[in-house]
Amino acid sequence: MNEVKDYIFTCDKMNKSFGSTHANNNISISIKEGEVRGLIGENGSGKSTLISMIAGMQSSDSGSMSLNGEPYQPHNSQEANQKHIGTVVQELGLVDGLPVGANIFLGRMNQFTKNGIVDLSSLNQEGSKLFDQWGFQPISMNILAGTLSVEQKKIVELIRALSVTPNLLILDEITAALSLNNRKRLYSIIEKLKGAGNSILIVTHDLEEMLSIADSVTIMRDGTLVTTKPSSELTVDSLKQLMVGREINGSYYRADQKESYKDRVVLRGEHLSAERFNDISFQLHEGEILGFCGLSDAGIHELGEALFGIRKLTSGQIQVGDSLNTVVNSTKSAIKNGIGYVPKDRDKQALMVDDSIENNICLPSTNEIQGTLGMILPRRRKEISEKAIKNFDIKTQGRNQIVRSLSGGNRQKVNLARWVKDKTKILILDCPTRGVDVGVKSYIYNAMNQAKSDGISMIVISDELPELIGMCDTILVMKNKKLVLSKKRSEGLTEESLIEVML
Amino acid sequence: MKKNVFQRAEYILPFAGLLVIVIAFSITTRGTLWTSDNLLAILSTIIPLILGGCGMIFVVAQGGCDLSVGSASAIAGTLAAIVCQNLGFAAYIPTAILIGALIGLFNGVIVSHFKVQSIMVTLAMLIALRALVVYITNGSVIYVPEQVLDLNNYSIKIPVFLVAVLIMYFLFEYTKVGYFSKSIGENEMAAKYTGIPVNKYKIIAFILSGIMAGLVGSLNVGRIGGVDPTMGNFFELEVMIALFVGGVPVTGGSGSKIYRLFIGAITVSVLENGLTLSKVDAGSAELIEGIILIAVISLTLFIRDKLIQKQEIMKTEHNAN
Amino acid sequence: MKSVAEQHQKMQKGTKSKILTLVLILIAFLICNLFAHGRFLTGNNLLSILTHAVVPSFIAWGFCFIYTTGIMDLSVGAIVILASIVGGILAFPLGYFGLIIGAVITAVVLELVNLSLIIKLKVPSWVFGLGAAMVYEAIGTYYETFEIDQGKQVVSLGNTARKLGSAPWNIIVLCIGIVISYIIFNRTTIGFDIRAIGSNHSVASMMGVKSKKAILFGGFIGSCFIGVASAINESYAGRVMPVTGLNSVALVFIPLAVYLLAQAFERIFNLTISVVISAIIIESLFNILTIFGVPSGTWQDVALGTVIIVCGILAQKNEKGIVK
Repeated sequence: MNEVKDYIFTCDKMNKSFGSTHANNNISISIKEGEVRGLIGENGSGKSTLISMIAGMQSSDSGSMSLNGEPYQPHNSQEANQKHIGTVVQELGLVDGLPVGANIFLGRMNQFTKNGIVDLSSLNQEGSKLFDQWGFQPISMNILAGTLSVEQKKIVELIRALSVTPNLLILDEITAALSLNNRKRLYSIIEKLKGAGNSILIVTHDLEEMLSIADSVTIMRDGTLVTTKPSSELTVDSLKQLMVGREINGSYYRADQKESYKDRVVLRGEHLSAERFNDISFQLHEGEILGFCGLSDAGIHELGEALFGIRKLTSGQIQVGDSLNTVVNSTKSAIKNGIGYVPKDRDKQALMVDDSIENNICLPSTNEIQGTLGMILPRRRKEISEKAIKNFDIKTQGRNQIVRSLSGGNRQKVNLARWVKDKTKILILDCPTRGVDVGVKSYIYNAMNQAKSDGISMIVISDELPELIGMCDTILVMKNKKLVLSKKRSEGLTEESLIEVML
Repeated sequence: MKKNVFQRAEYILPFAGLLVIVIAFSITTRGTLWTSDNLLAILSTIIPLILGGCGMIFVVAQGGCDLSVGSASAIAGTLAAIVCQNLGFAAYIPTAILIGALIGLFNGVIVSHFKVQSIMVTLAMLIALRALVVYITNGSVIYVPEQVLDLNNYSIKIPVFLVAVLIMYFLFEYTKVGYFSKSIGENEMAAKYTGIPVNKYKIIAFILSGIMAGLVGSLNVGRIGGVDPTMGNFFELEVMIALFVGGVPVTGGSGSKIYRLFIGAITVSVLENGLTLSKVDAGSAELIEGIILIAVISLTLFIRDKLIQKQEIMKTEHNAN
Repeated sequence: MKSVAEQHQKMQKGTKSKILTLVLILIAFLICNLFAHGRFLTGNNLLSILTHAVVPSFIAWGFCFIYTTGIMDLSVGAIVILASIVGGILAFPLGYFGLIIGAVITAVVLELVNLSLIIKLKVPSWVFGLGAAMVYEAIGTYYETFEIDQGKQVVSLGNTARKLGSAPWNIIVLCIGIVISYIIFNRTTIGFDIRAIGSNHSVASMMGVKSKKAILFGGFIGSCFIGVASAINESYAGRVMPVTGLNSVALVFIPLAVYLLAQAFERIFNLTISVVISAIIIESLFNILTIFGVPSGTWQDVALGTVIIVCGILAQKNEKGIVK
């Protein structure tokens, strides 16, 4: 019994599946009183699923959890909050249409309710007090959350998590959105909570940071738990190896360690500016893989959308064509000039998940396969879709199968396959390996290598630095809407050197 | 790939519904349903339903709706009748179609560029256009030329019908207008991110819907034998019910098929005809149609839901093996 | 990060824009009065505008609690007709109490049936609303034919319970409505839950808002307002006739325009306050049209359609301002 009491939180053999994806496979974790536990793994390794189950946002398929030695089975986030588990989820955000104060206590307003009426002034006072107590610069409780910056929003989310006086505080990728000052503040908050015997479960992509603040680290890969080790026994390199599960070189990424591309420039950005990025200039050469990285509000994804003409530029020019005299100013002109675009959110932005593979694959090619009078022959569609299925080795029972019934990896293959066609000369890939397993990942890297040798130029936008370092000829780092660093492919290029300028 | 129960149901249900209605009314009307006069009467309601549906299906496939087609057909018919008093019969159908197209253009621009829900815009148009028709027809008698009345002859009506339906069928099933419309209905954001000019195709869909409404309006004037302020009343609802009863999903997407409209239009026509023959009063007819509308849509969505669940299960099994 | 002082300035700017908007509306009224040769801003005319604004305001408050969560129920018009009739019937034995209770209970029951079915069947609300409107209209017609078969007519209040619909009582009720709707929408848990769902459904439910419960509870409150609107309507008109052929949908066009315009004003005024201001603006518009001799039923309906589209566009523009 004594042993159990030492643990604030344990979970035993947790399982969760989404369709075919076994996101969590028999995960067991125990967190001690006053322990800072790091949780780490590549995208799609199942961290966020585990966290959302602990936070009561999703139910598990099987497995049990206990809190302070008692069984713990939250049905919603309210119950988790009542049991003093506070969570900041990676991609949740706030309710933009409500003021800050209401956002902090949404779902738990009863504590301020007298005779059915919410006492807004004491709610706001309590909110301000929390900002004060944890040492953050005050924000007016009455302004709408939608008007806050990304960093301010994250802080409000953190305050929301802290407002439950957490015994267990879960932080999923919060540091990436914070400035250096607020990051330091967060570290001291963690120290404070820890000193009071509370525990923290933290996820971050910054491995150095992870090792410096966590007492021990749990590593996940492809939905399974690899191991848990004290931070003192770990190094950045050993962490990486445990995450990926094999030596990070050789066949996984690119074999060569030198930049290699033709001299011809196929796309040029000239002082590109829009709401989320400012004065970006760069050149893309034939057969080059160009990477963009930066923190969540650095503007890299928006730049990708702009390059495909989805987002309008406020100034600057995207130039393409043989002598760079054609300007891309709409998706129509982008496609006409052989640009393809694989967006970040596969199921929302790219695929029609309830439609057939054929319809999904043929969508970007529709203009090319129409004949006289704009007629589209079913035969041509069949040819294209079967070719794509074969080339990309998509595991399916046929081209008429509905995309929803495919695994994440195969969906992403459909997403990529539809752009790999004769007409595509430039591919913009926004997080191409988001949410796919290691096998499909390496398949996608191979496909990228193949495309590169076929002379296709690629712009890769990613938050996974190893991927960019492993694949790109050139890496451009963006910070606060601006381009701050350009690095060529080389043996000595490290993540740390990139992270340093990103922050 | 073996088809499962729900997939079969999705195909068979509309046919089964039609069969049930035909049998039921054959009995309740004691065979009156099958007299040649009555079959012609049914045909004369099927034609406008299919014509209107062929246009509206583009909007519905995109996940929108066009409630203005009834009023649009009325105003198009009225104005065309007035115009052809001065310019002769040659201008009659083109005017009706042009006016329909303009109304569609207006609807489309407001929906696509100003992002107002299609239901709201077309509902407002329904009321505003109807008011215009009432204003124009109020107290003034509009004479229509002989040729307009001749449009009601099947020897002219059927060829016009066939040509129009063939064009729409081709556009919807074999060109990018149809494909893109279905894609927008499946996932509008994906369509946008794949480079489809979504706004343009929304406008095109509403214009096509308006054009067909205009054509229906011009035929209506011929059928009634003049301009009437109530013509086309309720027409938009009948077309919508025809589409949904035929199995076109209310959420749009690639489940939208023109042949489903045909089945739905026949079902709705037989239903209305049968209710009238069975001497059911207007109130009960509305009640029955309202219940059918809700029931059919719930059932279609339920089946689609089950189908998708089935796909998910299939996927799990597939991976386990 | 912005300092609190700056944010305070922002709030003051809010007050300024409130005053500015009111002044602009006043100026517009004065100009209209000029064109109407002083027939617009007379005491009697203003009272008539206010009287006309009461029912749309109550229905639009109902929309605040129903439409805000994303449920666009078009059968509200048919519900108002049935609620008015039931209220009218109960007014004879029970007076005002019967009028109000009858109308409110009818509205609540029908709206809750709608909402539970929409949630249960997962049918898009607009199409469900159309179907439900047809069903409710048919019920109204059945009642009408039943009465006629009995040699009677659709219930008419005569001299019973007529004060609620006319000044000063309707204005008093309007003021009570302002206070209650404001408090529920802005100062209660259910108000926050509804607004949260309307703003971002998925985030709200992740934060612990129980969305089904909130939608149903919101529907309950909203239909209470719609029931009160029906009672006032019956009391004002004396008799509400059943309609067919989806004409009931047209009944909620003015409240719909009011609600949309209120959304457009939401950044300046609170939504429930905006409802009253919008109702007065829109009723004034139609009042002026009448003064200018624009025929009702034809050109005024054209104006109504235009107003809805314009308000829809304005509401949408505002939406963009808040969400990025």
